[in-house]
Amino acid sequence: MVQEFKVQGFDEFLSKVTELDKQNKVILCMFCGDKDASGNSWCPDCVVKEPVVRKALGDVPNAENVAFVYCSVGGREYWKDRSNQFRTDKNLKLTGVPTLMIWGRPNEKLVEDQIKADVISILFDQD
Amino acid sequence: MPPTQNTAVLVENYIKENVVMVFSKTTCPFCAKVKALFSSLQVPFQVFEVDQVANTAEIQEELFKISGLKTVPNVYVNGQHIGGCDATLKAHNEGRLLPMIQSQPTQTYDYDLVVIGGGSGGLAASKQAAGYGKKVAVLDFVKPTPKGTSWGLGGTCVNVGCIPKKLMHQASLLGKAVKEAKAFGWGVDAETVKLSWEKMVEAVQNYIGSLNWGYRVQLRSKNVTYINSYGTFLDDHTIKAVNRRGKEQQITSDKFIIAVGERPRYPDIPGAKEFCITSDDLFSLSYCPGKTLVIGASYVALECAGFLGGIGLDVTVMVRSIFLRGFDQQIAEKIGAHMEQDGIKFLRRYVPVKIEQLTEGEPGSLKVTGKSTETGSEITEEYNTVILAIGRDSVTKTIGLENAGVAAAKNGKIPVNEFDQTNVLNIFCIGDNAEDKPELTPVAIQAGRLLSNRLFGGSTTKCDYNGVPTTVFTPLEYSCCGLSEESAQEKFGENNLEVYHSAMWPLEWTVPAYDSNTCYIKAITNKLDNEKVVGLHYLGPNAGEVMQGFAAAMKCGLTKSQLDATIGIHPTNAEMFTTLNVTKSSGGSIEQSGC
Repeated sequence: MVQEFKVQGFDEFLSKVTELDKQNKVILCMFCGDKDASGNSWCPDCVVKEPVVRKALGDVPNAENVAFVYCSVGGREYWKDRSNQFRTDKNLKLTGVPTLMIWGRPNEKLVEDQIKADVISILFDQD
Repeated sequence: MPPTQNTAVLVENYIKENVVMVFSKTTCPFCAKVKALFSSLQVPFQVFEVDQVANTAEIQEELFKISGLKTVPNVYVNGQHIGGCDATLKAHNEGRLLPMIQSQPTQTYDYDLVVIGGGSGGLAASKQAAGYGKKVAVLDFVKPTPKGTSWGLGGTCVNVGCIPKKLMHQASLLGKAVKEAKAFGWGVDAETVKLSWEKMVEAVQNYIGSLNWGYRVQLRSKNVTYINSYGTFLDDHTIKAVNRRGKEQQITSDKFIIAVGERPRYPDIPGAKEFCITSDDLFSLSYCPGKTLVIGASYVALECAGFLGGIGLDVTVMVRSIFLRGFDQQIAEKIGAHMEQDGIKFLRRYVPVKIEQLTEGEPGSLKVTGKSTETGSEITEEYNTVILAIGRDSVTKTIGLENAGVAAAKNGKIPVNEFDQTNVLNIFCIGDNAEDKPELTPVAIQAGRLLSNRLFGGSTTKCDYNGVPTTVFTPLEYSCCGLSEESAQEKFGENNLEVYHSAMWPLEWTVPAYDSNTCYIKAITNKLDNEKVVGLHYLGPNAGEVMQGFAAAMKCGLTKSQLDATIGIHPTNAEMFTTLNVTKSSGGSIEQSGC
């Protein structure tokens, strides 16, 4: 079973991945727009892709060594600001939500439409 | 065959399960003729000798029901009735027989298509084929350079070619822009502005990394299997794939595309492989190369020398004979002259003799001995880095072409017909490995996509290899479409050409007071064909952006009068093409002196 963590905002995200990194975990991160009271993200793609990612968690190799960090990046206005930390941090350089990536590989992201059931496993490929 | 089986089913199965099925009689001379034909074509075929079974009449009755033909031979290809001996020979003579036989796999293979080489051409072909629902695999494997440099999926263009070179060219143009900015009123101190090689390389390599990843995601999304292994043919339907860890697998495929590309050539002189680098190493070099010698005068050589000089390094180019072989020589000389003015040194008519290491380091120092091709006298000079750019060779010699029966020229190039097909019918070749074709990424992409459309999409459109525009990203950029002046003279005769030309002073060059007669354009027209433009040349800023649209016009048959009828965009450099009025033959002045 992949261990899951939910974080809100950049600072919480950073402290969580720093902690998990020390435990030598492979950290799968999913960045989504914040959810409202009814539990739906303002970002419609995030709503569609979250269950796709959750389903794929069941097929992750070496699951005991993998941590899944679900990060709510913030409200729509915060996200649209080009200078927000998720977009500018050199370890992230996010270009869109939802984004799925393994922490430490900023050039290897699955963004929006690229998040598909039969593509997600590419994040865990060895070659 | 089992005697209990229903005759109808028996006959149908024979027809269905064999690509080539011949119902025959052992005594029939026409049957022998048909069998001899298939043997000579080296096509596997199944024969049913109907006179060797008890129920001959019954079988012939069944054949009559299916084909309306009771006599033998009775030939079927891929389940389709061909007819008797005459019909089969006729189909063959009209060239219909083999394509019918090859239109479907003769047996089940692991893949419908295996592409060897994941560069621009291979990726385009594989994705296109997968779009038709075909089972496709791409093999890509980069053998590290002698220095140990390696890279990811995407081939030369993305990793060690167009992409990094244009980005580094841009880095050098920006340096120049900072100096120009002063003339435009910016309060920058150009002298203190310095480029960090490490930061430039990191930025460029990060972008390349994201492209490598993007290709892998695309392949996965389109269901193309990516195999990071080195492919070698075992026969015309089988390859051996060996990965980095030496693990080997055999893969069969109905069709193959060879698109393994080229790698830099090393001269056979002492020290070349030990101490020199090539463009394969340069773009990811972890340290600034320092004082650099570039050996060669290819576009790779001049582009590398150009941007290294542009970022402030001491650069020398060793040139054996001419600049930019194959390109318009008048313009090639202008490029060289401009680079020289820009501070790049040239050793013309020199060849390297040996390279010796003086000190190790990053960079270390090397002693280069060169020899004059005219006097034979030797010179020596010390450099930090020596870049070899004397040409590139197809890496087709170690992929088992001989096992598949694929013919290749001595230099590794593979001859192909107009359908990009090698001499082996199920093996194709695109990109830099195809003989006598332009070695350019967009050409490979176009060829690859169209090839897959023909193989799997029922298309008949062939790749048009003529009128391909291109750009050389030297400090002063050069773009062209169509023929060089030399090729045009050879093709149409000098007297049948009218060459219009002009010097050009870009508006943005006026304020920094750059030379007014360095940039140059030329249109070569054929007088015998309504002054159709057969070659267009542009030496100036943003050359690639200028030429692309004119290339489309040339595809439509652009003539000089149409060029004249076109209204320019002012103030641009490209507008100069619409006002060309001085011919070379007139000897008129083309000098520019302002508006």
